[in-house]
Amino acid sequence: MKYRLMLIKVGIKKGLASKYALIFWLFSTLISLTVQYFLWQAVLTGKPTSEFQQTISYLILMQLLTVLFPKTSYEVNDKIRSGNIALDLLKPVAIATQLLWESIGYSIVKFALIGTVDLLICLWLLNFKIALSTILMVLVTGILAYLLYFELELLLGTFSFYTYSIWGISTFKEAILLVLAGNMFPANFYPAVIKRVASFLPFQYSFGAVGMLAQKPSWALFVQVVLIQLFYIILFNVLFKILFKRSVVSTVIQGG
Amino acid sequence: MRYLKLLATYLKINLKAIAIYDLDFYFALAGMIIQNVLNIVALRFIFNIVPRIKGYSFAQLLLTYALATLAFAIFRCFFINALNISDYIHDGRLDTILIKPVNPLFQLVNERVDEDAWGDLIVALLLLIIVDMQLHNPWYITAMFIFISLFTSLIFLGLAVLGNIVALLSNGLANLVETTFDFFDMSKYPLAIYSSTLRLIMTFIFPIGWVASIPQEKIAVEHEWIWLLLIPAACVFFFILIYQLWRVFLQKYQSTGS
Amino acid sequence: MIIKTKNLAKRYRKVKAAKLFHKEYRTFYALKNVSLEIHQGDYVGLVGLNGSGKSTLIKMILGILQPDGGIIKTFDKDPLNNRQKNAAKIGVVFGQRSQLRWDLPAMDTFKLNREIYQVPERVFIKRVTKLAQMLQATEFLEQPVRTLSLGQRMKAEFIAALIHDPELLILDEPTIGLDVLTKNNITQFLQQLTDKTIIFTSHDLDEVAKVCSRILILNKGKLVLDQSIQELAELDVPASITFTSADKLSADLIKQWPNMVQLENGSYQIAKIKQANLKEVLSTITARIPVANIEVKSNKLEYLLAHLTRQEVQ
Repeated sequence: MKYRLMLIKVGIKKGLASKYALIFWLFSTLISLTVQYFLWQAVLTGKPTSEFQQTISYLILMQLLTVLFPKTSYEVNDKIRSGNIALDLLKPVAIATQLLWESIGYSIVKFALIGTVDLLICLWLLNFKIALSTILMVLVTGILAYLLYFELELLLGTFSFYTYSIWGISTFKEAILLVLAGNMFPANFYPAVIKRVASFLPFQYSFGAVGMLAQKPSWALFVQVVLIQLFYIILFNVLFKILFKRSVVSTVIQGG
Repeated sequence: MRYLKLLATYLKINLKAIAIYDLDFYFALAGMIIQNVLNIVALRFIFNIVPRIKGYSFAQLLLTYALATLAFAIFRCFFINALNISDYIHDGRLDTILIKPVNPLFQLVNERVDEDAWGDLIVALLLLIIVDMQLHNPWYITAMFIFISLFTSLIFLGLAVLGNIVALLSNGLANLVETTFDFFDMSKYPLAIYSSTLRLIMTFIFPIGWVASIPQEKIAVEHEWIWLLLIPAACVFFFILIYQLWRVFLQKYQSTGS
Repeated sequence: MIIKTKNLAKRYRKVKAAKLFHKEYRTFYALKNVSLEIHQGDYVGLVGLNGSGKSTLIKMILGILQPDGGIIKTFDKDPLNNRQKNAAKIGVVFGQRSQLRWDLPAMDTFKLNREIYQVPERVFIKRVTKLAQMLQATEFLEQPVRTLSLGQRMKAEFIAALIHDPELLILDEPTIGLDVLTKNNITQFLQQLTDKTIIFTSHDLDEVAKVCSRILILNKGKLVLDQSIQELAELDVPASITFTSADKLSADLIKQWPNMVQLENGSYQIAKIKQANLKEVLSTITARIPVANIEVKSNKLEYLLAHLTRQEVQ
C-alpha cells in the first residue's frame, strides 16, 4: 500500500509540474462546453428548460470524465518505443500497477482544478438541487468507469507491440467511443437499435452509463451498471494479462 | 518556385515516413473515416429531435460541417507540425532549423505531415460533393468551396502559430496550442447558433467564423461572388498578421536564446 | 576573413530565488570581451569546460543569438541579419542534436538537404559517394536512422552537413559518446578535408589537437588562450606517471621521488613531473622496477585553466 501511495504522489507531482497543461485543459473544456451549450440551446428551443439543463449537465459530466481518464496507451507505447519497458519489466511490481496508481495521482490534480469548475457549472445549471444518493451513484460508477477505461487503454497500449506506433489504433478507439460510449452525444437521444447495441458493449460503461445515472438516478439501474462494469473490468484484466505476456515473449523490444 | 520544389520534396519524404507504419496508417485512415461518419450520424440524431436548428436543415448543417472539416483536414495534412513549435524550442531543435538557408516557419511546418488526417480529407471532399448535390448547388459552387478551403486552412495555421507564441512568450503559462482543435469544433456550426458577442469574436478576433459559416452563407446561399475574393483575402490578412508576430517572437528568441 | 569578433559579450539572467510573486535574478556573463579572428583555411579548436561559453559563441557566429555587446562578423557580414544568406556557406554538426529524420534512411535527409541548399543532382551524387567512402558509411545510408548505432549516425550527420560543400564547417561537440574507433575515423576524415575552415568544439583538448592547428580556450566566458598547436606543445605542462609493479619498491627509490604516492588500488603515482625530467624518470622506472603496467598522462586543459586563471589574478 505504501508503494501505491508513493505512486499516487509521483502522479500528483507530475500533475502539479504540468500546471500549464492543466490550464489548457480547463480552457479547452470551457470552449467545448460553450459550443455544446449553444448547440443544444438551439436544438432544444421550445422544449422545457429542464431538458436542456439535464442534457448540458450530462455533457459536462462526460467532458469531465474524458479529461480525467488516463492516456495510458500512449505511455505504454512510449515505453515500448524507447525500450524503457525493459526497465519496468525488471521491477518486482506489475507494470499495470505502476501505471494505474500514477495515473490516479495525476487525475486527482486534474480533478481538483477542472473538476471543481465543471461541477460548479453543473450544480449551477441544476440550481444546486442534487440528491445525496445521486452523488453516491455517480461516484461509485465513476470510479469503476475509470478502472474500466484504464484497462481499455492498457489493452490498446499493448497492441503497439505489434503496430509499433499508437495513433492509428487510438484514433480508431476515439471513433468508437464517440458514438458507442455516449461521451459526445447524450445516449438517450440515440435511436432504439443503437441504444440496445451500445448497452451490451463495454464502451458505454466508462462514459454514458455514469451520465445516465446522474440524469435519472435509480437503484435498479445502478446495480445493473455496476455489475456490468465489474464484469468488463475483470474480462479486460484477464485479456490484458494474456496479451501482454505473449507480446513480451514474442516481440524483441526496440532498443536504442 | 524554389519553395514549390522544396514542398514537393518534403511531401515525398513525409509520405514515405508515414508509409513505414503501414498497419497503423490504415487503422488511422479507417478510424478517421468512421469518426466522421459517426459525427454525421450524431448530427442526424439531433434532427430526429427537431426538424431545423435556427432555420438550418440537416443538409445545410452538413455543408457547414463539410467545409470546416475540409479546411481543418488541409491544415492537419500539411501544417500540423505548427502545433509542435514550442517542442522545437524546448529541446533546442529550432537551432538546427535556423541554420538552414530556408524560411524557418516553412521548414517547421513541413517537417512532418499528419498521419491520420488523410481520412478526414477524403471524407470532407466526398461529403462536400454529396451535400452540394443534395442541396442542388451547381458544380462550380463545389469548386469554389474547395478553392476557398485552401485559404481557410490558413486560419487554423495562424491559430496554431498564435497558440505557440502565446505559450512561449508566457513561459508556458498558457499552453494553448491544442486549442486549435477546440476552435475547429466551434467552426463546425453556423454562426447563427452562437450569441451575438461570440459571433463578433468569431468574426473579428479569432476568425473561425470565416472557415465554414461565412463561406456557406455568402457563396451557397446568397451567391455574392465578391466573397470569393474577400474570404481568401481575410484569411491571408489574418495569417500575415500572425506571421509578423512570429517574426517578433523569433527576434526575441534570438536575443535571449530561450 | 571568415569570422571576426571584437569585445563580444553576452549576458544572461539566471533566477537566483523564485519567490511567490516575483523572481530575483542574477546577471552573469556567458561571454565577456571575446575578440578573435578566424581566417580562411584555419582549423580552430574551441575548447572549454561545460558552461564556458562555447555554444554561446557558436550560436552568435551562426546568427541565431544576438550579442549584448561588441561586434561580430561572419563572412564579413552581420550574422543576425544575414542568417539565411550565410547559412548556405556553413555546415553544422551538433553532437547532441540530430538533423536526420528518425524513421527514414539518412539518404532521404541528404536529398532534402540537396533541395534546401540547391545542389545540382550530379554534383550531389558524386559528393555523397565520395563522403560515404571517406567515412566508410556506404552500406548503412539506406537503413532507417533509428536502426543505426551512434557512431554510424554521427557519420551520417557529417555527410548531411557537408552536402552543400560549405566553406565553414562547425562541429559542436561532435564526438560525444563515440567509441575510440569511430573517433579516429572521424579525425582522419577531418584531416583529409581540404579548402575548408573548421571550428571544432570539445571539452577534450587532446582530441581537438589531433585535428586543429590552432586552439582557443574559453573559461567562464573569457578567451584565455589563443595559440597555434606548436606553441601549445612547447608549453611546459607537467605530466604524471602511474605504474603498477608486483615487487616492492626499494627504499632509495622511494626517497628519490618524495612526491610519489601509492594509490588505493596499489599502483604508484608520481605527479607534476616537468617535461624536461619526464624522460629520465621514465627510464629510471623501466630500468629499476619490473613494471606490469605504466601510463603517462598530462592533463593539459586542467593545468592550463588553473594556470591561466592564476596568471590573471597576478
